[in-house]
Amino acid sequence: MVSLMAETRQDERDEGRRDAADVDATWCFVLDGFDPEQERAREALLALADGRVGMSGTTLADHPGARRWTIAIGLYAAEGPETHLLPGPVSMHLPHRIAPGAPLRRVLDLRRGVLQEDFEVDDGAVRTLRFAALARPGLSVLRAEVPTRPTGPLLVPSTDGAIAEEGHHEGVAWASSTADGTDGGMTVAATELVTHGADGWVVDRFIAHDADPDARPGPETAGRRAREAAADGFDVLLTEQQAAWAARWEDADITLDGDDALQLAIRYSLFHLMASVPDTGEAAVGARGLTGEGYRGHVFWDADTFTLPFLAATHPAAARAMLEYRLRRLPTALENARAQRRAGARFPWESARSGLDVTPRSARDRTGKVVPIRTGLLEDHIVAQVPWAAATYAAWSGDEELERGPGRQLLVETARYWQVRARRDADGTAHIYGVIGPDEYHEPVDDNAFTNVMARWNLRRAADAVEHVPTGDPVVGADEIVAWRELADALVDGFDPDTGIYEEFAGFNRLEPLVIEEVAPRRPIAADLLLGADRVHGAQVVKQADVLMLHHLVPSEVEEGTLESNLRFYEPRTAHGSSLSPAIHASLFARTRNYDRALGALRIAARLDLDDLTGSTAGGLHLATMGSVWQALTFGFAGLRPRDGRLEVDPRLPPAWGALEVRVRYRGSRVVVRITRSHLTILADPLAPVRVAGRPYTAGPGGLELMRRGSSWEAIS
Amino acid sequence: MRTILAAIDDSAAAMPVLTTALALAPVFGAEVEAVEVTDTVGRTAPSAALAAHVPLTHLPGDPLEQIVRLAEREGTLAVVVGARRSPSGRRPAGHLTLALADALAKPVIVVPPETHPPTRIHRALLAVAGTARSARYLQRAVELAAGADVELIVVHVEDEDSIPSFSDQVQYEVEAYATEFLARYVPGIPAHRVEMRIGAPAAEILAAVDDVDPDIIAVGWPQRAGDGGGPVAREILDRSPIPVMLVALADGPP
Repeated sequence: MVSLMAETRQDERDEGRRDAADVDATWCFVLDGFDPEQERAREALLALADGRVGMSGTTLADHPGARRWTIAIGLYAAEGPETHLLPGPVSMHLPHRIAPGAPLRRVLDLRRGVLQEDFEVDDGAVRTLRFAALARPGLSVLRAEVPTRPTGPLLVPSTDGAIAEEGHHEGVAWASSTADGTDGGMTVAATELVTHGADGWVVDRFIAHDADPDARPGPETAGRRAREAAADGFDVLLTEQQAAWAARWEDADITLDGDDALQLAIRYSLFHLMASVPDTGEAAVGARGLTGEGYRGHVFWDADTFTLPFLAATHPAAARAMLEYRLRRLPTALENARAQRRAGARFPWESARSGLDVTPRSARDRTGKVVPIRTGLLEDHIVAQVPWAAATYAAWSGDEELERGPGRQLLVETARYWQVRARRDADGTAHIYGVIGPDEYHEPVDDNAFTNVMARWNLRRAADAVEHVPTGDPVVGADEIVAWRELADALVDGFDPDTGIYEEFAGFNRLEPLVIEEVAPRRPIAADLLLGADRVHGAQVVKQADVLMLHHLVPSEVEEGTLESNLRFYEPRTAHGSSLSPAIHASLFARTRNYDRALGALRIAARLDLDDLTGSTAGGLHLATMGSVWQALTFGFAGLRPRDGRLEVDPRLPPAWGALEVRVRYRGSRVVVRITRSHLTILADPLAPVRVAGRPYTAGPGGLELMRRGSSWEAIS
Repeated sequence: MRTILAAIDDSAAAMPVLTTALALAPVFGAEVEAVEVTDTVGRTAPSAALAAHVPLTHLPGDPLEQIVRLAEREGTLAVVVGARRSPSGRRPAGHLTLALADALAKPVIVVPPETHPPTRIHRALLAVAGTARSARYLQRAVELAAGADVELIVVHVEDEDSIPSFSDQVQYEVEAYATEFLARYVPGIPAHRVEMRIGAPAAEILAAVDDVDPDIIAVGWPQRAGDGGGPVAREILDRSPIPVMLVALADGPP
């Protein structure tokens, strides 16, 4: 029988040290004890998912504040801003109770994708292992070694849900959930194999989920899958699970020598990024992924901008599924634009099932005052983020079919949106008025540099994509291409060649010159709460990277050599009040070799949920922050970028790290980049074109070896 | 028998104290009894007790000792006292009031003599200042009101030190914050709302009184008034126009 122990180091296994304390600190996230105040956050921290279905990491034993939920990607209920994830029946529970102070240990083994939970009850010890089967999305498995045979229902409603129908089908218990405002639902089937052992009972539970946003599924499919899983047995499924996760880590792991705590936090982020997105069909990746019901599961720019790049570079099929979600809603985006009397496609700031905007129009702020929410109306840069995500996917994956087909259509329709969204002045300049940029402290603003430059990128990219395609779908006339290029050239971007600084938006430089680095008692800080929304609106206080986001996302679109000047100006003025801010700055500080600041910011981002720095981890993990952690390491520290048909490698290794190793897939090649103080090694299988220090190379399975020469690199093999 | 002890004297606070005790009685599921510790029986306290239909006991001796002795009886759930003898009396709250609050683990409700006392408690404001630690008294306050039809509104005042680091999308963060706050510190309360204020704690809590219009404020009490402890609660006591319930903090000041 397969061990229920969490992953241990090989040397410890060899020595036969099987105590739970021996878990590998760089692979295993360990929580000891039961703390009622922290349990809600822990339910999210220990959430398990397989890309399609996620479940809370709630203690298997019950306690008064326990919340249990099962959610499925893209399964929503209700309409408009009230649209929310529809929770399904739950089967991860045992008929025991746990109290504060009770012995409890939980170990999330990131390498194997399993959660071990051991606790004591009156009549003995309970040892459990559970997982969401990555190899069989929609299947979850539990093994519990218990002193007494469990009784009671196998399926219960989610804490915030209800069971619409339940029963037994060919020997398997099943239950369905649904909700008002949807015909869809989730049906869950569960079956158990119970055997009596020397020290009690062994319960193997097999739970199959079937979710359909269009029609609540019957019990047949879930029941069949549960029975098949039971027939294969726990050990087979666990072996599958380990193999599936090993394959994902093979393409995505990041290792660093010199900081075990940060190493674990990084792997923790990568784990949840991988677990939250499927690799088939369409993927509506909400702000909290499959780790919680927060943000109602709505899809923001977080998905396209922060999460997708990681998947494009490690598991392209999952990034493609995310794009498929947007592509299937392109017709609705066209309708959205028409409803605004504009051309092209207008993707919504908050999206759910339909592709219509589901952003609330008002909300109570923390003081209880009702305030308007204008992001849905004005945060237009989302329009460019979707084609940017497609371009990012195509650059990493080499998926020419997407580039020639739906990717091109995305570019065209979004370019058409900008064509009518921008206004031409008599002096020939073009402007985009009344928007909200990433810095949401200031709204509305004119000529937000980020929005304008992303629109310019969008227009030029669309022109490039269709210029040499005389016919086909979409049909674009030569005059339209010329108009896009003219508009792109005419769009102002606020760049001042004298200072090398982009003005964040028209008039930013005339705002109160308030440097939040000097004013705030600490950073990150929610400056709108510290100073009041009106004060920050009138001051040069920035919520998160805005101009600097350009240097991070589209460095080729900004003036060369302007990173340092803009970082020097904007970072002290940035409150980092958005969870998306620290890792982006970590990336940029790494590029400028400011390693202390880079590591400080990276640690904040990597531990955002582990330390519940937002106070909202209970609603789910900040998936976009996790994606930005990967971006900081890959784009910032390792300096990996696909550019002009080659993988560019330009590393920055902090003195505190002995080595950094990043694994990615580039155009079908498995690429491993290992950076030390003196050497740079690039392995690629099959061969991959790379560029290091401006020179083209071909990396292969034998490894391209380079040695540091001053600030550059020289090939030695 | 479950009782609320109304400690009165021959002052302008007598009737407001008795009225407040009577309003609290259904919240606690208790009867009201009054005590006057005095060597010389006057007319105001007996008349007030008679008008309020509350039995009054006269005891001689040291007021603090006698009231503490009565309050520590098993069935006594809370003590209601006046903040001071008259509306124009000195502030802060009187020595006896603070000494009682320091001495008792049970809630002490302090009634300003100028208040228009509630005849029924419809809404209570639970004040929390600063770090989460100070929120831990809330559970006790809520347990006291368990089963009563009282709307509970938690007002959490953050200052520079405790202000959140992040606030992403206000339309979700506020709800998430409130949900998590209540789940951590006051799980299971039936009617509740969380409002957040930024600024000087006592001033913000008192400003919230104007906005929320509660019948009573509950605030954690560090039981160290003699050391100058609990400055936020003391300032609220000094300036509140409505009764203030001091709930002992088990582990330190707010």
